[in-house]
Amino acid sequence: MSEVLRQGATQEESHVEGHHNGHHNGHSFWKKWHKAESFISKYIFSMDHKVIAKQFLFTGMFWGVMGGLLSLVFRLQLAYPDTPLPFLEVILGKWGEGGILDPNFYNSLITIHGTVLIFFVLTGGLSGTFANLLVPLQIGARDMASPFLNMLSYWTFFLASVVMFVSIFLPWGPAASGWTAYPPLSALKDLPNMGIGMDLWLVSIVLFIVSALFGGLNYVTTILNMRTKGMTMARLPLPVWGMFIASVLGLLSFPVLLAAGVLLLADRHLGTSFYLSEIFFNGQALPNYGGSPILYQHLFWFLGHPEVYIIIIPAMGLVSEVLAVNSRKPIFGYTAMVISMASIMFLSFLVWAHHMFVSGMNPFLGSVFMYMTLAIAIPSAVKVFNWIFTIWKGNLRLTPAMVFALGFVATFIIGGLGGIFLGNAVNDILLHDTYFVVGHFHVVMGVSALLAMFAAIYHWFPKMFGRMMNRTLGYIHFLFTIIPALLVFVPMHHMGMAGVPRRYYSFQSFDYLSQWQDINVFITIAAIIGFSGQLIFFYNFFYSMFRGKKPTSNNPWKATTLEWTTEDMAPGHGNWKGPIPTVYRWAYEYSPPYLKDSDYVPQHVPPERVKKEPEKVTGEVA
Amino acid sequence: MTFGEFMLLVAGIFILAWIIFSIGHLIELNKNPEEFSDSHNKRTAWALFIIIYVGGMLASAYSVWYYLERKLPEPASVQGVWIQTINDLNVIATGIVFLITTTMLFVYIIRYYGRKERRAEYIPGKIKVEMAIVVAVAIGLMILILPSGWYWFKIMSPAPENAVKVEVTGYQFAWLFRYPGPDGKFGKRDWRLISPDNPLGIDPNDPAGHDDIVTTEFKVPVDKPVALHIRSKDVIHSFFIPAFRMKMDAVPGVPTFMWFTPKYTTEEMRERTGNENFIYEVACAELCGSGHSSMRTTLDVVEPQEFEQWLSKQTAWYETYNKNKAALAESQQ
Repeated sequence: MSEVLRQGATQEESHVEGHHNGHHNGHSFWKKWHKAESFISKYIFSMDHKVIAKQFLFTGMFWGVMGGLLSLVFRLQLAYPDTPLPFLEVILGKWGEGGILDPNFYNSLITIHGTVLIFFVLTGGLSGTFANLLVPLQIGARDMASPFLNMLSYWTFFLASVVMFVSIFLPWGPAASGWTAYPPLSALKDLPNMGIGMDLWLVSIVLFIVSALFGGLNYVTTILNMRTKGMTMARLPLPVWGMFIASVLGLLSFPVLLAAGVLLLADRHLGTSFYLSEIFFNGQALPNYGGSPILYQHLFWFLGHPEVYIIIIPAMGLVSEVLAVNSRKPIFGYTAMVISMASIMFLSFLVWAHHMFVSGMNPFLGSVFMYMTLAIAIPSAVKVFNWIFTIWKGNLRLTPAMVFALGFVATFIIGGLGGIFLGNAVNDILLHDTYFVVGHFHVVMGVSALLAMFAAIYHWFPKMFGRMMNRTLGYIHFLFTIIPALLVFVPMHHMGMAGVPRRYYSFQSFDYLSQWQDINVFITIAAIIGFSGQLIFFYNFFYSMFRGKKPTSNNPWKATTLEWTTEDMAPGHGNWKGPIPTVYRWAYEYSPPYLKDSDYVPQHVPPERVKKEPEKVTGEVA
Repeated sequence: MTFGEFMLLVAGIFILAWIIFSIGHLIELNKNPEEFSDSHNKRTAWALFIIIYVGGMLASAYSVWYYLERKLPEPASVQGVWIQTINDLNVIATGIVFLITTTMLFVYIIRYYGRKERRAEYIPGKIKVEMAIVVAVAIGLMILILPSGWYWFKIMSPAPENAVKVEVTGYQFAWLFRYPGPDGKFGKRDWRLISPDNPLGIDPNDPAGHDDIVTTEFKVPVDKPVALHIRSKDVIHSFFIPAFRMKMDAVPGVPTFMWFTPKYTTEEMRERTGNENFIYEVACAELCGSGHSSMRTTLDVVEPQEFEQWLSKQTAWYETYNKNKAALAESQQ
């Protein structure tokens, strides 16, 4: 079947070229028009999966900066709650009157910071970028199953971004309910900052879910139907497996959040009582009766918990690939890696209520969810040990990507072990909604997912832009990322154990909190350094995009996977100029004992060639 | 640190970072980014080991020491002791796993950094190793979780019959308490009856509510189980007593419960902590709006006879309610 597809794609391509040639003979005005049109169709409303990947990446980077800046504003508030900082009034206007941050706006800042980083950066920016870039290239397809749906996925995401961006600058204030948007707080539209900002927040999330569903459908369809000849599921590189499993997970869980969001909108504007009951607010009793805020929490966390795996499973796949390539060694336990990802996906549907141990839920449910949550530690531990055993007896080439991937493993260990505390229902009675939670999820899905994203960017940058990134700046960037990140989030674990509640505007009202004020200053300094460290990355990224060194070969990392077999370093639409390569083996044939000079056999090199001239199997494209 | 010093420090770090950055940028100009020499790999591996691993371990140790100076006072409720025990057990278990795995990771980095004369070993994985990981982790988790399952049901079980009943109601941004009075029964509530005279919406026609006491003070006797009925008037709050290690959400429309047995009176805790001003503080642990971080109340744990005395001195809610009503009627005439 893939043979047919391959021929189909080649034919289509030649058809498109013929069409272009016909146009070039026209009037000069039309020539210009055509040029303009091709710019739009090439870079803006593009259906090329690689351009869409870059669009996701740039949007994700924009939101990364935005989310980081928002966090710096509230970090300054936490470090200096009393000191008027006049520049706040300059940048925030009425929200920073007299240099003092408005408490409602503080809540808005944490809300928008969380939302954009979780959804726009780590879901859209990470999976959107690398699923788009790698799925067709690594499975040997000319594009996604539906390039149009793919384009639609990005533009819906863009629309969601615009709605969110607009909501931040409205005079009524952006949503201030926390990224979890628990009703009744998010349902009472007369509360400050809960008016139009909250509506736009919900609309933005709904649009984002639509985008994620478009994308996910496309990735799943592409992976199932468009693999090249010989590329069985058991030969897929792990990033593709990661994207596949995360997409299935997203397709099954995102619709539930959509439902939760629509019901919340109905409660806000149509007078329904899904989540509202017995509320006395603003001096009057609301008529709503019979709803339950707990229902929202169930619906929300049914997505909300899988969401962290939607973020981390693709990250795991990307890191597995980077670790194997740079260890010059097969990934340890390929099948176990796939099975553990699949079991994480399966179990992630059965753990959501560990966010609700102290919500008043039936204690029996609490115990069930505790056992399920700790069960998910088993596949996670399998993955961690497999990564460690992958570098064991390897020959580690410490590229910037590799260093970031190792950083991912280190932070994932810290974050994963923090999860053991929170998944334990008894311990959660103390730690729920404290800084321990903040520290835990920032380490495990913030920092480690970001490190994986950076690893992937450093690794596949040549594939995206045809040039290499500056290596030394990569290492400096790594140190300026992981050290401040740990300095920010490890002390938060200790604050949580000492009972410091999260989402506090200041620590001044409580005797037992005031002693943590100096740690707040420390964390703020670390956060500022960590954020500025990203400037090194941005400089490196944009400088290398235009002026970076060109790689000397088509396969700079000497990897086995198909994306490095294209004729051009950064391929055009259609990926391969010639026929799509056929696959003969799995993706991790590194340092097989039958090779002498070379230490890898690419997936597309026929076994006869390996037998005949084992010293020349590197698969360089002639 | 004042804000001025803070800005100076940040500026200093920026300048330092800029210097490192420029050097890094220049170093790379004459190099081939695809070449990873033996010395390069060795330097990078050791830099990772010393900066991230050794530095990280030292920083963690310092962080733990810093925490021990500032941790919560010893758990002051029976349930809090269980919760703290589970927490400490988790610290030890995860601490050991953390040390083992992180040490493996970083030792392998300095042991197996890339060299031209070396080759990686072709090890695609061993099913026995995978099974061993699964079994070991599963057994470890079982051991870790069995006491938790036991304590969870002890903590979450219904309160004993003889428990002192208290109802707490959260609203933006304070807590209000209700004691059932001599009959030991709370009067019915209806949120539609809430008014300035009747902040909890107690039904005036329910005789069980006539002796209820509504107060902003939270006093409980020591060594006796206290059953807390938790409710909310507007949004979700969470009633968190850090010294007891316990919290429970207050959800509008959904009554929730929590019970605990205080171990020490406020006076005893002052002696035990050596802090003359010690007081049991209660915080809100669920984002509830602009006043979330100042939604504070206090708890006073006293000897049982003192508690009885205090309770008998309180005026029933219904008396004040009737008085106010009469006064209102008079003023209208």
